[in-house]
Amino acid sequence: MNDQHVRDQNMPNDDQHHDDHERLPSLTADYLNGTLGPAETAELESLLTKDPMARQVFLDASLLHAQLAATPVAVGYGPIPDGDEGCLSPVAASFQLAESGPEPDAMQSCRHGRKHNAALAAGLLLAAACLALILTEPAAPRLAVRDRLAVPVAAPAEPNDLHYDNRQLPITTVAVLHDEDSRADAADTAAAGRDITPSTLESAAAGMRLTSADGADVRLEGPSRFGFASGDSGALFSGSVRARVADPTKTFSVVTSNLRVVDLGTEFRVSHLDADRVAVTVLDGDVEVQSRVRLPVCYWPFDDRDNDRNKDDRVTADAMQSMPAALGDALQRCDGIVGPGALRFDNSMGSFVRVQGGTGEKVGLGTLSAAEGITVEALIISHWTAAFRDYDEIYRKEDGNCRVLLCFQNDGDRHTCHAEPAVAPGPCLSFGLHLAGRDYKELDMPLDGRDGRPTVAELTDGRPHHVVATYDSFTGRKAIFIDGTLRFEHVYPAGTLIVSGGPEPAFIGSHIGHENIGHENFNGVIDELALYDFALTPDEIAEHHERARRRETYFGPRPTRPNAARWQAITRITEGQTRVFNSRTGLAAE
Amino acid sequence: MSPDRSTRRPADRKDDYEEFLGLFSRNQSRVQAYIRSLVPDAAHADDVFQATSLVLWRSFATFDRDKDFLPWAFGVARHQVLMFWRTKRRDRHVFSENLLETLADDALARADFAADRQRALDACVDGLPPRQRELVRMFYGENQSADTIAASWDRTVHAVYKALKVMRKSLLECVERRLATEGLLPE
Repeated sequence: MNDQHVRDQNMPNDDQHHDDHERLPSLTADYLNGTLGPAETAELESLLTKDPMARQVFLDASLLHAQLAATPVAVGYGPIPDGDEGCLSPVAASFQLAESGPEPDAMQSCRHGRKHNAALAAGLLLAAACLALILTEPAAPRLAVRDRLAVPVAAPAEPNDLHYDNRQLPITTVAVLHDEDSRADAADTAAAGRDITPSTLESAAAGMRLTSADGADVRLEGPSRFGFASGDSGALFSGSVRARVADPTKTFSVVTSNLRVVDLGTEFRVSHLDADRVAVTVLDGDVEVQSRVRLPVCYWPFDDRDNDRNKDDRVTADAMQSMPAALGDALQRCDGIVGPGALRFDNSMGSFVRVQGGTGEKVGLGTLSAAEGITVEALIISHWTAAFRDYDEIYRKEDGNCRVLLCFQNDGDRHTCHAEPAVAPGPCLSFGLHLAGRDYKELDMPLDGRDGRPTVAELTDGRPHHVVATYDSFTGRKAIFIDGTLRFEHVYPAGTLIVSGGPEPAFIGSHIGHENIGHENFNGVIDELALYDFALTPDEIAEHHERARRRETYFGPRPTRPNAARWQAITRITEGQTRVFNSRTGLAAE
Repeated sequence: MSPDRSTRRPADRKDDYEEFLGLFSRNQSRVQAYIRSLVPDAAHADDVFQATSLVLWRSFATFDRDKDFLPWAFGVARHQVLMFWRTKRRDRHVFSENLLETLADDALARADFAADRQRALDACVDGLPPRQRELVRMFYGENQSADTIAASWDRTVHAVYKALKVMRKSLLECVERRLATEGLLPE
């Protein structure tokens, strides 16, 4: 046996190599799409195992798949189609050349270029600078590229009626509701019931049976009110719920205000005894009882980089789970109201903070989704003009009509359908949420100086103000607090869930919505922005205000490390036991 | 004169957290890309990235400040990716452990070229027809499923998957062309 023969046995022959070459891209594409079956997976593994070149091709395709999510078009900063599809940017032209063959010069004579020759020259200079920056700093946030190119606009952007993105985005399915006469067979759920999205269910004396999206068998016992917030948890507002989880890899939890009961492969019951007390009974296995960690989901103190512009990476990170946020080009770091740093917004399109993360595939998903409660808290120094149709956003996440916003508004009699309660037209501080079964509604606090409400002049007096907006599904109370004091509220039926979260990014100090509509940039300083997935109490808010007045963080010592935990264990209950807890304090009540 | 960084105990430094955030923020996009190139599903890749981020922070006190942050972060990410696939092996058909380790190492070796490829890809995506740019935005930007896109476009799921395949193929060719023109293709 000669050497050539040995090589031939170990190396694919030409025909085989040709077949592999044809097959590899197709298998790789299916793998990336998530549509590869077991046989094809084995086939792809065989190709990749024996051929380093195949792995290279596979990894190049995989990296492209990964990097597509970071392209300016994917993150919403790509060029906006203007109907002139033949007009391409110079960079784009080189891509099209190989496809269709036109000369570069011809491609560059596009309408944009003719209309904006001077701007193009300036833009190219900026682009060259940006390119150098990208080359020397490849890990700089991709989002900053377009921001650096954007020319700040001194005047407020011209508002239009498109600022509300009224798309109905897909909402996650949380459970299957079974017909009353359906068989009690969890495996038969798809055929037996109908899908439900996050919503509150009310059962009559006969109760109600559901299967959570994660497979838990959930029964409302007698007259009960239960908010199915996600596929693995729900909130008990009244009555009694029993849950059984057959799959040991899944969990189901029941929340009652500040208490959460998490199954550990078990069957358990949670029952309201009265307004404050709940009884937890374990029928099989164990459960863990937890109390809520009353800290934010995300908290941006804006103190990173020590307020040094020369070290500014145009990105800031939240202190709870290191969720980064990209800073717009016109945004300036400045002295903090609390701590060393804050952000100064100049009302231009380039002054914004875009949160990178916290999104989900559908409404109801993502770290920044909230169902049972929410708080948006910030320290601001506002220079809002309060002019007709001038909008200054503090926080906004625009997932179609399931948006969350806290902003200054003055839009006369427009959008009055959103206001609940109805208020007279005029400048207001608006807190908008989509509530299950009630559509999108705004608590528009008139800035009229009446009934304890502040005036525009008071809020734009050049001094810091503590602004807090809360909603609590357990009480139905939606409220706005200024400087530690309740100023305006509206009460919905207890048990009304928020429908929020989804694919759109959150913005601080701006609103750049779907297809770049919006640009409602803040004018002034924002500091210490915190988001919670529950409602702070009036006492907590007053305490936070006092701490902020003393230039301390809202909740005591500044977090020294990320902490994404939302709940902490109190105790474990075993089979046959019943324990009573105070659902507000999260403590044992026996 | 500033103190010798190597002799300061990380836990003692007040700016430990800020330093971590600075390093993390500068490198997170490359770590994310590395993870997603080995975990194609966006939601799963996000989970792995989240776990990686937490491990990086928790281990930051042991990180040797005289060394580069990125290789260390890649090492942590590699471990998290392999752990993820181990947990997934139970309920779905995935590559063997040996192949996954080989791919993870090969991907690390190619990570130096990621920035050039991203830059080329940005330009190539910029030149896509509006419909394909919309597909990039919906599938990769908003993480909408093929099912959802098919419903909104009134097309079959199969057609959406095919559109993704065709688009990625043309983008890959475009990236290779751009890198070849600039002499940046790896050996």
